[in-house]
Amino acid sequence: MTTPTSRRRDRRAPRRRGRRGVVRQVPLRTHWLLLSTLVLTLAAALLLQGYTRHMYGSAADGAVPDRGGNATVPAQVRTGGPVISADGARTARPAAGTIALTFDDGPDPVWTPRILDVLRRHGVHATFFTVGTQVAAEPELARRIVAEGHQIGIHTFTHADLSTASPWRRTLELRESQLTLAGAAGVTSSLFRPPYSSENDALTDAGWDAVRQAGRAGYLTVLTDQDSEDWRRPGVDAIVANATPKDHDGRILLMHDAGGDRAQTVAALDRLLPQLTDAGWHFATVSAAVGLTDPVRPASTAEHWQGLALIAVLAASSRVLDLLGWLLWAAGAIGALRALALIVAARRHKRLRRRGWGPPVTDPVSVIVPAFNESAGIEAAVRSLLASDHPVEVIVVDDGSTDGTADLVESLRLPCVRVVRQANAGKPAALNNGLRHARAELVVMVDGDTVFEPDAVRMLVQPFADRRVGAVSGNAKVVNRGGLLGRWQHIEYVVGFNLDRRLFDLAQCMPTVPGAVGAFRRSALLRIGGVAEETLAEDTDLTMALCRAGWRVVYEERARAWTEAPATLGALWRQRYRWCYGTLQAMWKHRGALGQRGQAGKLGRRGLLYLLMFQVLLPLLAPVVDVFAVYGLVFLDPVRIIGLWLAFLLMQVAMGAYAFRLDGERLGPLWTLPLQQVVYRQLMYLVVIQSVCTALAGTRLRWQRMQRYGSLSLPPQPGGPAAATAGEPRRGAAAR
Amino acid sequence: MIDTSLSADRDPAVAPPPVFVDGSGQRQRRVRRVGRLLAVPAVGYLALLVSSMLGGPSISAPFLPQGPAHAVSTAPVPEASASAPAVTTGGPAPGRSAAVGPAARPTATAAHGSGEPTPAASGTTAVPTTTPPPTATAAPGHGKPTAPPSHRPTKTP
Repeated sequence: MTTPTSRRRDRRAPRRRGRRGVVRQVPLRTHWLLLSTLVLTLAAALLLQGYTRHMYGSAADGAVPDRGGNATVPAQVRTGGPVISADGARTARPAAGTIALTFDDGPDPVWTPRILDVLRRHGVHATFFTVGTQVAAEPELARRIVAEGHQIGIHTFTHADLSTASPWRRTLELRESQLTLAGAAGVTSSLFRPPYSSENDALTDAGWDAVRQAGRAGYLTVLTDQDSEDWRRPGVDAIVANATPKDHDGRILLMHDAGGDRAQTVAALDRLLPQLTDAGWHFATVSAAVGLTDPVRPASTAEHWQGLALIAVLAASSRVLDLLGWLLWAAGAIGALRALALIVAARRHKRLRRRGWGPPVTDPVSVIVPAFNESAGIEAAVRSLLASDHPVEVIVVDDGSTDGTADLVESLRLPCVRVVRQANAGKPAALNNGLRHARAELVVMVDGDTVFEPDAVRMLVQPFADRRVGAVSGNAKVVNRGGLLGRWQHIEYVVGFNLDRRLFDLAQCMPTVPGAVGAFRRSALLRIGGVAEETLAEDTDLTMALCRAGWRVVYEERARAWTEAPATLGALWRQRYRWCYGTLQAMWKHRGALGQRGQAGKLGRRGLLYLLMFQVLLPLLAPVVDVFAVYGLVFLDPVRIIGLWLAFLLMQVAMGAYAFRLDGERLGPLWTLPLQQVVYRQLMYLVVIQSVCTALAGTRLRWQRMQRYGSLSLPPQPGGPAAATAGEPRRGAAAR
Repeated sequence: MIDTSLSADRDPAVAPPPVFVDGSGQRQRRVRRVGRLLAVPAVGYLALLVSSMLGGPSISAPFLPQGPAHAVSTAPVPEASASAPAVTTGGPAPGRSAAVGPAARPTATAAHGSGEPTPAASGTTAVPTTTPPPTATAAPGHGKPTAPPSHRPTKTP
């Protein structure tokens, strides 16, 4: 077919394409930059939200904490008027007969409009000390306050008690609240009322320090000398009584338009205004009452836009946080449901298995062992197969090994073992080659480094007593369980094989028969065209194709084979990258199953969606979980977060313990489960992200064959995963 | 017969290409573009956040006239509010609105400099004598004007 010359010509093709050819070879790395940026942004948004939501001073206004001394508060401030100049040296109070109405903590979507209505009805102008986050949430109301002629001042960004805050936080609180004001109403104000402040003589040393810092930043501090105490909700009469001055000195009257139900305040105000007006009182804003030029000035365009930006940033982060919060709850619920489904399915599966498969299958079996540079483990693998209590013929397909794998097997001169040599062409080709040489109808496929238990082959083929069964998955077990990495993978294998696979089996949607230990009907394989080469997970691809051809694929947990797991993080990464990317490929290739009927539809709607949910979507959400966990520990109740985490961990341990019991394993290694959260979990989800990005970008992977350009004759890539033969036991044996 | 149907035996030129692989590199470029589209708002968000943390409007309090404060307890109750609002116009820019606000400061700060603020700046003609001791304690504070003097003073002379 392809002559050497045409092949050579083809190979030159990419070079002719120039830059494009280069682009194709560049591995995609920008997604890590993107991921870092997004995670950083999320962290920043969470920090902002954590600050505004959870550092918010939500204690009642009057619930003033223990007060310290007031030795440093100057006498003229302690006894002076409630308006304190920026330099802190002078104070002023409203002119006699004048009341400056002040409302703290707003704007509030419910109560501020009502208070504004009352004020308008009585033709009175008041002063509103607004909280920055509230302004950001209700910018319309801030605009309305200004538009209706009222004065606006700031009451910090998060209603923080500035007396206990550090200097940088005081600055931040003042600055951000000013910015939201500039953004929402287009003005700046130099009036400032510290939260939890009251009258001058209640000013503590720390409070005075905050007042002086605000003064240095350019603010007039406005305290109060008539507290309506409406925050206590003492009843309308009491508020009116509290708000009515005993003499005729000028007053700055403190009320609240937010911070809970303010119906009493609104009602009291409606009575108070005519009552005091009749008594000869005059209402004015703070600045008018003490004889100031207007402290509220138009913000510059830059300030206005900067403020708008802050409001937008706050709104965006709030929305993202809410959305992610819901997603996380959904993910948690789905995870819990999955755990439940797995346990229930495993119990039923166990009971079903007791029935057996029917008349014993005694037909001889062809075992195909694709091998690429497997000289280290091939002898043990082949001998374990020959030790089977079932008649077998072993076909070792040497995929162009350079370490003499084929010679080694031949030198053993074992009965019933044939060696087939081929030029290096990849694992699918080796499997197909083996299929071609197989004499038996039942075929077992084994990796070159996998050791079978004596009864494994027999167990593996018993399900073929059922004529509908086209393939059987065995139970692969990790042989090297030393170290954390080994234990983690051991747990993963046991859980994956004993829970997930049983569920797949019951739901008749088995997506993968592992390359390490699986049995097939040769005729079924040939009818679907053998092992395809389009994906890196040829076993998954093959299984899905069988399912779609109408065959049932079942799990036989008693067919055990021992396989070697990657011993280093790097090897594990490469192995999982191939699996994950290959699974994605196979899923995409067989996406048509979603809309098919019968066995294919079961695979599509159950198997593919399950894989999509638990092997693609949830891992993609996993980095968010980690960021949220840190957020929760910092801003939320750490006990609750740790409790939640422990609950999920307990669920995992329970599942693990059950799976271990099903498999007759000792529970010992389960203690490493909590540690899995730190390295292993991250590795697993980063692999998924990497795979999804590679798939989206259509990048060619190094170990993918350049079919079109006849690279079949190229030597194997030394740096590719094929080099790590021990590292990729389940699927990577003969792949390049 | 059956053997030829095995996909791996097919002519490589005819065999289906690997799933997802896009030889032209176009999809990679498109994905990069989408990635950038995602990164730009994220970076913009971060930039806005940082900018709002680092800078904000500079505020300068209007000059606080020494109010008729402490005398009031002994003073007679005014009929209406006649005298009090009058005090408000005592500032250097009488009758001007908010826009003129900053203009009030130059004179005010000038007054600060003079060291004897009360009479000069506030013009508290209403109750000048009742001011509490603006003595020693007041002076040091005035030594450091709260607002930068260069700030827009020339706009409205």
